[in-house]
Amino acid sequence: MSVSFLAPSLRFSVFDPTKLKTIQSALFNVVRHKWNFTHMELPSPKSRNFRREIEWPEKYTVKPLNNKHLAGRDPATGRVVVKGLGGGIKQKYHWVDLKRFGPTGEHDAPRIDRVLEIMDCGCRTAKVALVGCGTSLKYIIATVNMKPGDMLVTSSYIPRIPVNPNEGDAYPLGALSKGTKVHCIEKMPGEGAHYVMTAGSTATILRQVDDRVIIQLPSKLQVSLSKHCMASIGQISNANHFKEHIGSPNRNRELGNRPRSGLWQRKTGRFGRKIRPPPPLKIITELAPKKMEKVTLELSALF
Amino acid sequence: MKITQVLYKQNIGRLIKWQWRVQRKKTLIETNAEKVLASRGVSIIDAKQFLHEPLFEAQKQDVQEIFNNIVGPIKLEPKLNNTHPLWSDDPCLVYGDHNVLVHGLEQAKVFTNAIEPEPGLPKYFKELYEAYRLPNQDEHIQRIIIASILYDAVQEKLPIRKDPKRPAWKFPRDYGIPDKRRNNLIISRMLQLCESSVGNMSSNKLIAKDVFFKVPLQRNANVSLNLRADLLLLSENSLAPFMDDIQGDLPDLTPLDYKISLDEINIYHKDEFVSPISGKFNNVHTAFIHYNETEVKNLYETPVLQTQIMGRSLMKCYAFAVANAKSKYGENVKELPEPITLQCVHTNSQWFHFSVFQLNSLAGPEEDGMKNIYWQTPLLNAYKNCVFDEGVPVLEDYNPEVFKHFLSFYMNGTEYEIKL
Repeated sequence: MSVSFLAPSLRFSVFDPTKLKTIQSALFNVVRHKWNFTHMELPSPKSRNFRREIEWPEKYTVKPLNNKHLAGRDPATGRVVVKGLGGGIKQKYHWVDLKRFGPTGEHDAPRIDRVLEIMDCGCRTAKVALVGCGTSLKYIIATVNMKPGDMLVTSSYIPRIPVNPNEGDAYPLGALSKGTKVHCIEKMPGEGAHYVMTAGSTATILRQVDDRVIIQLPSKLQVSLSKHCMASIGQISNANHFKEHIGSPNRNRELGNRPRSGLWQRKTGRFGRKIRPPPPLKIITELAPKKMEKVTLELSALF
Repeated sequence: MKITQVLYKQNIGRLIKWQWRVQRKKTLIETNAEKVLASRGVSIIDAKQFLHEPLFEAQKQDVQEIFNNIVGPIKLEPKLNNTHPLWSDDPCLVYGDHNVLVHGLEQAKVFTNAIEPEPGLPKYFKELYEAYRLPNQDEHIQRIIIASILYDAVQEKLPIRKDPKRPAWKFPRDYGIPDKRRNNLIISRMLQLCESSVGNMSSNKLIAKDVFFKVPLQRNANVSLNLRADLLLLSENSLAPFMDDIQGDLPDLTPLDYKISLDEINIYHKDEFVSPISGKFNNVHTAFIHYNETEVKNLYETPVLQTQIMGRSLMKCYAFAVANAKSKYGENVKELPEPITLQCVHTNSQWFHFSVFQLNSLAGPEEDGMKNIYWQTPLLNAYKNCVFDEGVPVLEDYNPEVFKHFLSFYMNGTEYEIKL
């Protein structure tokens, strides 16, 4: 005997989990006997930060933001994605404005910001600086020698002769001479800072080739970027962060990490290190490859 | 015959499901079909527009129908977004009771177009506070401080203490007198002491409590000062100005604008002026302002600086003076017939900040008007510590200068004023 609505009907549509839920609840009789109905597809551990979820407001604000601890769980499914996270003291998130753009014209006066305060942000290793210009306040990532009262210059114009920048200023990569130490570097022009954002880190400008600038990241990887990518000058603050000891297991719990099992031992290097060639130059092209649409096929009788 | 679901004899369903799970997600492959069809003039229509989820669509319609036919018992409040009837795309910058200016006193001086001629109060006050003294005034004041800070019977939960060096440490919960009540007690008792001692002079004054002002200003933007005077001493006669005119430059804030760090709101009444000063007692003599730690905060949650506290006094003085001028000479007054002078006492019941403000003109810093004048003392501590030490109330390092200033402010402008 067969019941009419049980007949498997094949449909093609873009996968929408909310719709799927409705259908499943309506056809509950069908799925009752199905094996492993509760299969869930979890996101990749690298797809996002699974430590905390920040409550972003609609408009930019310097008010420190509240956040929820995720303890390694995916907020959509509630399942553990990353192990070893959980607990810790709640910190507020300082929304750092990663887009530092200035005027692009040759004769335009550059944008000048005044540093008002340097403060700690519990959610990142580097310190943040509160800067103001006109009636707007924003946070940027602080450099090593930045102090309240400093004036920071920002310009997006690339002159013929490289500029002589001060620490904390922001210029396009093409406007800087080789050997300059930079941080908060854009991957694509206009997208906001992407490379070199952690405490004490800095990248070096190696050379210019036509319209592209080659920089060396702290990992020694060489990256070729567009000369219009903005970068800030200097080394990021809290340079001694890597020397700080956690000190005790309890302190590690305060930082939001759960206990690890097993005795970890550092490699001795007794048989030498494997010699590998240096990684090849990574070229970041402005034309991202066109991503084709992904479809999910549904078989209503089965899923 | 069993009338239930058919169970498959040969269970290859598992295999099919595994296959489906793996194979169901596909990335489309780009073909040349679109180009070929376009070259032949065939228009392409997205097939998805013909696909519907019948059950889901029907449910959506049902829900919509229910919503449309509901006769609600109450009218819902308008949402606080751009559908609100008072929404304006031109924002209003608001300075409220909880605000402090990011650049402190310097920014407040530019905002109020005020110049500080010399450190300290006008010389006239020195003569005043040497001339007056109440009998046993220091004993009275010490008793008032202890009574307001230790003996008051109200016990409420105080804010949670946190030690930044030991963030995991939880302090025992404190109970005590909340800051608002503590400030209110100390100020009103000191004022009462003045009134009861000085006698019939108090008939010339009116005390108003929790007076709310809303002062609109045009400073290349809509600005509104929404401020509260916790205690306001209103007098029949206005205070005499201390200086005729002043020359000088305002502090340089570049690249900051003097309107930085004000709250931006889009839902507001335009040019709304609220001031309860009217009638016989239409002069602000002294404004008493509380500094409540639970209320006044930096937007970025760092501790409030001393210069920001001084800036708060100046901003409040300016707002009350402008409100006084507007209620006296009309809302659209630009040039004042005579300057408006008022005094201000700002306290958190430990430190006291005394200041005097003289409003010469309502012009902003962009205009070439007369400058306003501001005198102030540094923050004066009335005592160092006031606690129960092993059950004994202790008041350490009482400072008699504070009440001298207080009394001279009270006596200024009375008929018993010293004549020079």
